[in-house]
Amino acid sequence: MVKRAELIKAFASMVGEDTLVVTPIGSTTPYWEELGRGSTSLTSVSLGMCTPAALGVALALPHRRVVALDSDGNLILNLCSLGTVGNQKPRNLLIVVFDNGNYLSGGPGGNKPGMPTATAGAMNLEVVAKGCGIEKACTVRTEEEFRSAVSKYLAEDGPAFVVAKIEPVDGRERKGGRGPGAAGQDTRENKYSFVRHIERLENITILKKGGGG
Amino acid sequence: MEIAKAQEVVQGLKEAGINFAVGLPDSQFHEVYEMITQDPAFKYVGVGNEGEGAAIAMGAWCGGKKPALIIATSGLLVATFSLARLHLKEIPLMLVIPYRGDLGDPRWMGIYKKYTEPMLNVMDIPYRVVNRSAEIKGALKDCQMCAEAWIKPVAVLLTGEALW
Repeated sequence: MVKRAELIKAFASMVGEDTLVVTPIGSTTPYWEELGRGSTSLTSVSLGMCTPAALGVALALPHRRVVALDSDGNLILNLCSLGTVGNQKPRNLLIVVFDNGNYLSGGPGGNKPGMPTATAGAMNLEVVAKGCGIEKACTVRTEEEFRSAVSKYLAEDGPAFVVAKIEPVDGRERKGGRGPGAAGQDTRENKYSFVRHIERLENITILKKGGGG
Repeated sequence: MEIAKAQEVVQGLKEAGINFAVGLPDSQFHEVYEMITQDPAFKYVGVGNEGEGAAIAMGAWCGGKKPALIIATSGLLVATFSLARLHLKEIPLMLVIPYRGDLGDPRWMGIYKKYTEPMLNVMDIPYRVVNRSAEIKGALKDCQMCAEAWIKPVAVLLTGEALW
């Protein structure tokens, strides 16, 4: 089985910073940050909010490619968001779900998985997405399949949905937060850097001068 | 809701600069939703729960839109986790809520009188309670101005003559 870190590295090689990326809490965000991409992305978007936040960005900027790097437990908390995506049909949105079948962030750490998510049992997220009207949906299990599906969907109109089945654990300790020298940003700092990035890309003003001062 | 009052809400949202509306309907606000969905001044996104709605609004704001979350009092309770996270990131967002369960509501919705204002206070979401339809537009304008200046969620609750 492929590891989350390998797929995130592969994904980083496939998109530039003109693609807007939204990442959830858990280990996806630190892996993405360690590749130097955190400050131009919306990161550590909390439980159930990753795909909907990406949908909001996609609807606000319909000409700009937007990708959610979601995860199974995070998405399942707000599964109805797939119905909203299916009805809104944003052509510029790709949702990638790193599906490890367990609540790793709530797990014991080390090489032990957390408690199982529904995808460890009967739930098939690809079928759910298709049932919600996201016709371009697939499940991948290798880096080669992942690269093939993502590059195909990035070249086509969306919405599209890729379930990437990954190792149950990431193989490194993630508990205990971020120490000195970690790549990540404070959540407010991240909001500002992400919005400033969009302002530069789009040549627009979003943040009001003196707001909050 | 009377059509003239619903028009005040929709016109007030426009004058406040709102151009992106996310909602899950309350029965007393049905006319507002209908008008918004038919008005090209708004992009409207109907959602399955209000926490999802707050997240969509956050993304839309990051992309340069001026969002409003138009939800029921019950929906405020559902949305609390997402709104807490918006607070943490400091995202401006106007909440527009028909104040069900307030004194004067003919249906039994006392639970919302018990929880709505305490919940807004606990969540540090400033709010204005609007009792008269003549005050709807001004309240929406004031609250959106403060949401942007303070960079946080702000709420407008409609009740009394403004709602019934």
